Parts: sequence; structure tokens; C-alpha cells
Amino acid sequence: MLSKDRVRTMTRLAIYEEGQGAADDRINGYFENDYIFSHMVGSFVGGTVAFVLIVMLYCGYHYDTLLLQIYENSFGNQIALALTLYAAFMVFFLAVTFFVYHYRYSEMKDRLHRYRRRLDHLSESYKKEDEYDDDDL
Amino acid sequence: MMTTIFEIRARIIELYGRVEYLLIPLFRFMVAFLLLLLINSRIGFREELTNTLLCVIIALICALVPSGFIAGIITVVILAHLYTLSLESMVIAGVIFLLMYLLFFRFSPKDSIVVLLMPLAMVCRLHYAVPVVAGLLFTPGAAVGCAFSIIAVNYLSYIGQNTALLRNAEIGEKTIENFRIIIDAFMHNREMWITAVAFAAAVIVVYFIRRLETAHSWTIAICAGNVTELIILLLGDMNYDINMDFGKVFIGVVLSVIVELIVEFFCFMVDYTRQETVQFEDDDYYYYVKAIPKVAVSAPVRTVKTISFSGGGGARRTFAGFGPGKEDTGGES
Repeated sequence: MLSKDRVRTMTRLAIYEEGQGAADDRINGYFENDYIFSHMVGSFVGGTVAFVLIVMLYCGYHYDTLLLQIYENSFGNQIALALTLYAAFMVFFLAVTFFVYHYRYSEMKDRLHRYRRRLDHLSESYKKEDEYDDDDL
Repeated sequence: MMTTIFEIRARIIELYGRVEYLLIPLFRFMVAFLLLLLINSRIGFREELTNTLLCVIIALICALVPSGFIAGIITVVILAHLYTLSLESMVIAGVIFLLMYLLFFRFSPKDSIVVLLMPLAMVCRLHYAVPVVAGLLFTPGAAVGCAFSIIAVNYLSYIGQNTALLRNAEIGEKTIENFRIIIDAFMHNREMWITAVAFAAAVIVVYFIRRLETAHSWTIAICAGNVTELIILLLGDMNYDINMDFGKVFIGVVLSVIVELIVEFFCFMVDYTRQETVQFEDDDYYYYVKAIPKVAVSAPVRTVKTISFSGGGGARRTFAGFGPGKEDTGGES
């Protein structure tokens, strides 16, 4: 006989599998540290490119002053300032990356846990039905 | 009255569920097409790209790809237009868009729809609604998207208003001069920076308030988001003498509140009068649960009952009426 509860559980399982489930499965293929580290590497590259772009805009704007400083060999302070700003920016950006992906990983674990509980629930309902049928025989 | 409104809501949601597979590509097509028309009207420097048929073809491609790709396609179109005007305007726009992709889209590519909707909302003066709706439906990461979209739109409108000044066919002394003029105008546009900060703050305020456990959290979040926008804009105006037209701002906020309430009506409608609080325990935990039922009114189903009188004159009468949630049994009695 058709069980409404079972149909409901199976529908929820199917919705999860076809939607968020695929993405979660991909994330679950990594250990948490590897997952976060791979995204931090991406952020490091992205953040560095972003910083270089901003520096290029700055250099374009102060083109003549910078040329003069290079000519007078007084470029050291500017480089030190740029490196300090780069370090501060990267620390902030990597910290944001860490928190975002740590949060996503733990959310994924929660969703997967709920999915497994529903699977257990479904499996138990089948077992109960089998026992009931055996008793009838 | 309220029951009728909830019935209409249920019908619309049901209809949306049935034709969702058509509505989403249609929505993407409309967004892309309207954006292309807007770009052509403001910065349509490259004549080949202003062809309406080409716009339709690009929008059709956009209808089939995710919103992150649409943003990429629109960016390429914008850069092509700007390259025709001058190299320096294209380089600066390219840097703005690259920063947006590297720093924002990495984290939440799904929120890119916020960036696409902002210019369209600005045309209808509904842009104050975008950060509030983003806070209601998306993550706090949308704050960065809102701020970037304000910066991008202001940059493009500046280019559109100063075409004669910035037009430059050759690379040379004038390139550097134009480059500085653009950067100066961009950095000293305080209205743009204050609006970007106001919108980013509104997204964060709305997101955190709507997640609170208090009753009517969404409505409170909408009010708080709009008040945050108004306060930051007002403080910015007072501190930096921007001379914003607050009449227009106020009208924009009022119109936006209507849009935000419509979004709330369709996405979060619960009945706080039937709230239940339960407490129970198992081996490991105590549970304190607050359950608030959703407002659920099923769309009325037309019931047709056919009564036939067999024998005698063979008369057959049909009664039609509406019953809540009843299905047509087609039975005869």
C-alpha cells in the first residue's frame, strides 16, 4: 500500500539529490582542511591579481611622480608601503575566505546529516513493512 | 478580504510552479535585453552592437546561461563600447569589473543577479529596494555586489555624460590626462561612495534582523533596512554637502517599500497568532522549539456536480460552484 510518509521522505530526498545534493557531494569529497586550503589558494591568487590591478591604476595616475622617484632612487618607501598594504589586504581577504568556506563546509555536513537521517527513516519504514508482511504470512 | 488575497497568492505560486521552467529563462532574457538597451542608450559608442537584432540574439544566449555568465557577457559588451570611445575608459572599467569578479563573484556567484538588477531598478527609481530584497533573500555577501554595482553604474553614467571630453583615438599624452580626469571624478564622487556604503550596510542589517527569532522579523528587517539607507544618505549629505534631492530619495524609498512588502508577501508569510512553543528532551539534549505555521490557503477548485433525473422527462440539471480545496469528482447522483 502507498505510504504518504514514505512518499514525502522520498520526495525530499530526491529534491535534495537533484539540487543542493550534487554540490554537497562534491564538497564532501574533500577533507575540511583540504577544501578550505584549496579555496584559500584561489583567494591568494585572486587577491594578488586584484591588488596588482589597483597598484597599476595608482601607478598610471602618479606616472610622472613615480618616474621622478625612480630617477632619484627614492622609491624604497613606496615599495615598503605597497608591501605593507598588500600584506594587510591579503590577511583580511584570506581570513574572510577561511570563515566563508569553513561555514559552508559545516553547513554541508549538517545537510548531509539530515539527508542520512531521512535515508535511515526510509529504510526503517521498509523493514517494518517487511516484518508486518512476514507476520501476516 | 484577506482570504481572497491569500487565495490569489496560492494561485500565483501554483502557476509559477507549473511554468517555472519557462519563466526563469524568460526572466533572464528580459533582464539581459533591457540591460543591453540601457547600455546602448547611455554608452552605445560601437554601432554594430546597438543593432536590436543582435541585442535579441545576445539576450537569447543569456536566457540559457546562469546569471554569473550573463554578467560576464554584459561586461564584454560594455568594454567593447568603451574601447570605441577611448582606451583609458575601457581600462578603468575593466579593472572595476575584474575586481568585482575576483573579490566578490568568487564567494557568491549566485548573488550576481543583484548586480544585474541594480541598473534596471535605478531607471525605475526602485534601487533602494535592491539591497533590502538582497538581504531578505541572499547572503550578506550581496552587500559587496550592491556596492560594486553602484560604483559601476555611476562610472558608466559619468562616461556617458562626458563623452566629448573623453573621446580619444590616439594613445599619447591625452591618454594619461584623460586617465587622471576619470580617476579624479571617480574618487571624488562622494554621492556614489555614500550610496555604496548605505546599500552595503542595508544588506547586512536586513540579513541579520530577518534571521532573528522575534515575531515579524522580516517586516522589522524591511523597516530597518530602509531607515539605515535613509540615515546613512542623510548623514553623508550633511557631512559632505552633496545636495541630494531628498524628495526623490523619499519617493524612491516609499516605492521600494511597496516592492519589498510584495516580496515578503510571496516569500515569507507566516501566521504569528498560531505560534507554538514546545519543550522536550531526549538522551542527549533538551529541545526548546518555536514553531510558526505558514499561512496556507489552498486555491479554490471549481466543483461541478451533475444531477440527472433519469426516467420520466429525462431532465438533466447542472450546478456549478466553488469549494475550498475540493477536487472534481465528476460523480453523478
